[in-house]
Amino acid sequence: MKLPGAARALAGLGALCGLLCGLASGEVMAANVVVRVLERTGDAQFEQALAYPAALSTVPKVRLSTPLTVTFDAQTAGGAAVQLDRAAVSLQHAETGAEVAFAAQRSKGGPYRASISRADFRRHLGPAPGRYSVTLVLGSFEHGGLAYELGAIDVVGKQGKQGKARLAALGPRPEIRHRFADPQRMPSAAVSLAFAGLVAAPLGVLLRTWARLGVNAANLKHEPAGALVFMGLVATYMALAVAYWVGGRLLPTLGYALALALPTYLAGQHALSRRIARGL
Amino acid sequence: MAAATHILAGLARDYAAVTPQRLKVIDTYMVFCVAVGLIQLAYCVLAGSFPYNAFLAGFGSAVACFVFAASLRMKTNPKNAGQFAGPPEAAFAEFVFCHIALHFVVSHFLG
Repeated sequence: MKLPGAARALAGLGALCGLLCGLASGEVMAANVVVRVLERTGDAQFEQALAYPAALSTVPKVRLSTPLTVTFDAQTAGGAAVQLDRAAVSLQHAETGAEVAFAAQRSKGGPYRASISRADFRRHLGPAPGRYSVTLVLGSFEHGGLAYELGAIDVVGKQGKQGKARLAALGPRPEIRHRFADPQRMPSAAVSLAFAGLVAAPLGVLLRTWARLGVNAANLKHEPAGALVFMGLVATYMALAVAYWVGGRLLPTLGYALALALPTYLAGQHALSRRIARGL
Repeated sequence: MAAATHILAGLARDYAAVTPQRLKVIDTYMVFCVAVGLIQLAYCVLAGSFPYNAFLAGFGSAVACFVFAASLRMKTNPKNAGQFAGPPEAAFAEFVFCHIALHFVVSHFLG
């Protein structure tokens, strides 16, 4: 939805509301309207004060380096200041009908001010030079609305893509298209499996070396039952870690680990103290 | 070069003759931990670190096992009996406890 059309509809709606609220509240008026085209130094290349409903007497040229500024006050017909709900300067291309609007901001206690920044000019006006009609669009829910034709300006720029010029400065933004992260580059399964085998290979070398050093696993059957219970409980802890990795949850796993702690400690204490007593 | 070979050969000979069997078992386990860590590091360098948490878990496990084994070796070495109070069985109990805790942390970090 283009803002200027919507702003005008809002102005009309505001006017209707104003009428319904009672004639005593009055319509909103634009007072002390000044249209300026400023130099880079801040001096006014063009300046004209307007009294509603008068329009600009000439057509000023507006370039990237000479921005357009419109300042005004908003008040009722009785002269009371009005806090506007909407204030914008709308520019409509005379040939293409493309519209762009720039919101007017009010400084503290000062007048409303709408100015075209260099970025806005570059984005919206520069690519579509030509003659634009300038309209001051004001709206107040309480006091009604106003669409004040200020006149025309000539925008000097380089013809560019028409698509951009049609976008309203305050219109809806383009749709956001999510872009998910690219998947990580992974090696092939064969490489991963090969390395898994390579990592497991030192285990075979270790066991063979232990056998050569005289470590005899068959002697385990001569171990006292307490030592086997202790080793069994340690193996249970390892199995618990594997089960947790596979799909267990942390807190239940910690609970099981805590439950195994005391038996493991007692079994270990018993087994190792018997080894010390036997002098092994 | 010949001198270095001679020194290394002498070192190996003295090591085999002097070192108790228990310490040799621990030493081979430490070499095993280093080898496993190096292979994992080589995979990380060649194939990339993704998933990084898995690499850290595996490599950290190898390093931690090496450290625990080094501690066990220091405490069970008869030459260090004066420095460390307590029997070798107590050191082994600490070794087991540290490994249990380590493997829980590693399994948590593996993801």
